Amino acid sequence: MNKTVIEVKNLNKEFQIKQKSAGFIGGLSSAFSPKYKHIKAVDDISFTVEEGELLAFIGPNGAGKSTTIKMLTGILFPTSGKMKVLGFNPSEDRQKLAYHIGSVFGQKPQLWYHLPPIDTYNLFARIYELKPKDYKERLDFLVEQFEIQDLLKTPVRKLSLGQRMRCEIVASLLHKPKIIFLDEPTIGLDVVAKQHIREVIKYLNEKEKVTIFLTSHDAGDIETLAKRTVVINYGKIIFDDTTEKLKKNFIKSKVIELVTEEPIKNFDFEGGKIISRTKYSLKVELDTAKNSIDKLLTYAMDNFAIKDINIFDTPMEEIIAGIYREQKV
Amino acid sequence: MSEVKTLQNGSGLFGYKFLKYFEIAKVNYFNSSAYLVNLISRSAIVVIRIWIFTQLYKVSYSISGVSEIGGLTVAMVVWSLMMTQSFQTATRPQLSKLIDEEVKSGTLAYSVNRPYSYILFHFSGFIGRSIPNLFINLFIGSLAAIVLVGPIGFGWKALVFGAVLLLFGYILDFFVSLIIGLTAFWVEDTSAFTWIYSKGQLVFGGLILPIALFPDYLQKIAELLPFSQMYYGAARLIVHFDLSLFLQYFATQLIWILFFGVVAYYLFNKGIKHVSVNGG
Amino acid sequence: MSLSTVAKYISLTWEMTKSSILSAMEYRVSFLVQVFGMLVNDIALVAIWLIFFQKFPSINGWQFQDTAMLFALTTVNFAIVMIFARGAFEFSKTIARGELDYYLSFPKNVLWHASVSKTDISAIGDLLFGLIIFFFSGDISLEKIGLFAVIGVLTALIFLNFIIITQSITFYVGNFEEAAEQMFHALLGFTLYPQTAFYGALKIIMLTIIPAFFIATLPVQLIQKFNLEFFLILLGFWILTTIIATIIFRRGLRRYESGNLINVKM
Repeated sequence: MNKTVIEVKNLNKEFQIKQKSAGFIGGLSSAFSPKYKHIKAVDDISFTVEEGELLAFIGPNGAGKSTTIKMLTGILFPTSGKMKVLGFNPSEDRQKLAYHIGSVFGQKPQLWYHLPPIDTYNLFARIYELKPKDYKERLDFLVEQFEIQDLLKTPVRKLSLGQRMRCEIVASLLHKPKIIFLDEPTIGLDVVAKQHIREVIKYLNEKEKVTIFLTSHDAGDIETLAKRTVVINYGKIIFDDTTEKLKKNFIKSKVIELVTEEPIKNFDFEGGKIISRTKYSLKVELDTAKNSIDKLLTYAMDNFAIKDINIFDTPMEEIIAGIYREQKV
Repeated sequence: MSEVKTLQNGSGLFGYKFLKYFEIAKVNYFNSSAYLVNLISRSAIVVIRIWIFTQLYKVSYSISGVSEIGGLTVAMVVWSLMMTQSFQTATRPQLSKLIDEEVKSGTLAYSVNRPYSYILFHFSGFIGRSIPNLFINLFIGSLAAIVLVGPIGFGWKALVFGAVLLLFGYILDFFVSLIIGLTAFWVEDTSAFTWIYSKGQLVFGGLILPIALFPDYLQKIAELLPFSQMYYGAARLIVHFDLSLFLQYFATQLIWILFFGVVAYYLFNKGIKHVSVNGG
Repeated sequence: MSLSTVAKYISLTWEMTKSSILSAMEYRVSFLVQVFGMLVNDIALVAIWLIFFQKFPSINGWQFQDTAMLFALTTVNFAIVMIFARGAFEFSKTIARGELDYYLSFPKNVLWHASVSKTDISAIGDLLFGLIIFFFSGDISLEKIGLFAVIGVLTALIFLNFIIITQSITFYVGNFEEAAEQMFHALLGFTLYPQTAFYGALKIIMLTIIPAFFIATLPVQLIQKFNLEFFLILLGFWILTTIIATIIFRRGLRRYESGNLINVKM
């Protein structure tokens, strides 16, 4: 039996937004009697995470994903409710907890831009108070795993985005965190870099037994990585079950666009339905219950002169609408 | 579309342009007044600064046992400092920084194909931004000065001629700031030039110590430098009008404006070429 | 906080600052321009007072030498803050943009971490200037150097507390960036002038809201003529401001809203 590493009970976070009136007089009156609008960013949520799980936390923008992660890591104070992460209360023991968890916020780099990664790593080793011997072993190990030997001494500004992301992740693994919080880790990356990051995440979870808590609005991240998915909308949890179940019930289709050298005449693929076409391109909606994307791509490559392929996920809104529909029934 | 045409015809091209910049000024005014705390704090600083000057010069004058130095009484000194401070701080945010950013971001390079002159465009923006700040500064500054040292009399002549010097002072400041911003084409970090420029203004621009209180030889040098011709000249003339002084300052201003105008124009064109060579 | 923790933080502060300076050294020309540009900048400031004191040789006993010492001290304490804790000047912006998140994910004190994370390179020029002017300001003894060093650091800490307090108001009122900057300029403004010129209500403001007296007037007196009683007052003021700064920041942190609101469409 696994032990519980994250425990959340009736957690709430409310933000107050000052309403501003325009103009000088308006500014004056709102300075003396401000009006507030209350927004429930996280609305009474409860869940637990077991050691070694790889959990995806998804939802549209502003649904409360990041707010939840930030409360779990001690960045934000909750309005009410209970949390326990690795036995700590994040709002009270933020510093103690920080020694045991790692976080990667997709768009916020931690590496020093003008310095080579190794300088940042050395600094982090000091901040996390790692013993020199342990640090060296750990660094050697990570450098090998992430294949960054050649990047260590290059100033970060000269690295490509993908290389940089690999070095970023190494930075947050130096202290051997037991839980890693990844907030939109693949945002802004191209397909190849995304794939690389996903492999790394998988590796951490499977080989190092690290618990991973991931947010994303890239359905691809979730499908390839998470065994369990929690969907949050307007601050409320509306789905908490296996990703398999989510996929089966709510992510039924994908749209694939094929751009070709020559016009496609005879498209015939089981589960694939043409939804629009121009002379040199074709949009196909694929029923993922009937056939897989892999197979469709293989089929396309074998039969047509493909110039470009775009894959569109089911929009988050559609997944959520589907969940609501089922709940009503 | 037709509406724009009638507007152009109705008030002439100049009037139309003027309206546009009046709009810019208005937007700036509302934008800055939306942040009341900032507005109040900015005014508080003006008041504190004038207050400091008042005490400093009251004490200094009384120790020297004189009521007038270089033709200026304590009240005149305080009023002139209030004005130079108000004139100068009204130009924020610093133009040199804006230009610097535009050079680095490449915005300037694109402007070459635009249907307006880059230099004129920025000049209008510079003036448009400064006007509302200027009025607020002068309003609060004058109130503070009246309370602290009492009103001083100045005739319409002083105001009109002072206003002329001020306008040309802004033009001079504009060109120097533009030049500093344009050096970003060749220098990584232009902030050092900005400091030196602003300190030149502080020392020779009558922002802390009116040039009339300088020792004679230094006063002559200072009056020839461009720093004193931006905001000190106007303030000095308003507190104590003197036609020959006006002519002297105005001539100095024109020479410097011509000089810096040519330099700015030259650097601008050179910079644009520099971009097309490097940018590929 | 134990002594070893303090030692750890001090050594880490040094590491962080070293990284910042090394990082800036990547651009050598810019580095030198900033340092020497600031040096010239400071010299200009002294020049104006050199001119002033030609006209008014003594303001209630305050002479050019006193202004020189005032500048030596204030540039040094200012430089110490700017070199080691530049980040504190940007709290308001950091808080408003939700960028405190980054520092909150480390197992270290947030206030410390966010402060030491940045270095103002030009402040090295200020430091040089302050030291040069101190060594040229007259009779230098070993005791005086020691006193200058101790008081320089102590006033730097008071200065830092003032910055933290004003910048942290952002937690409570939202937009306080420019106001905090203005208050900082007011503080600097006071430290420019002969300190004996102030009287009445202005003196009270200087003692309380904008504590220029404790950063400039009192410490300059102390360096020129040491007095244990005054020194203890200065020390007490440092402790007081530290407590206030810590409380304001800690309580503010509970209200911290991170960058989330950016995502909220209204």
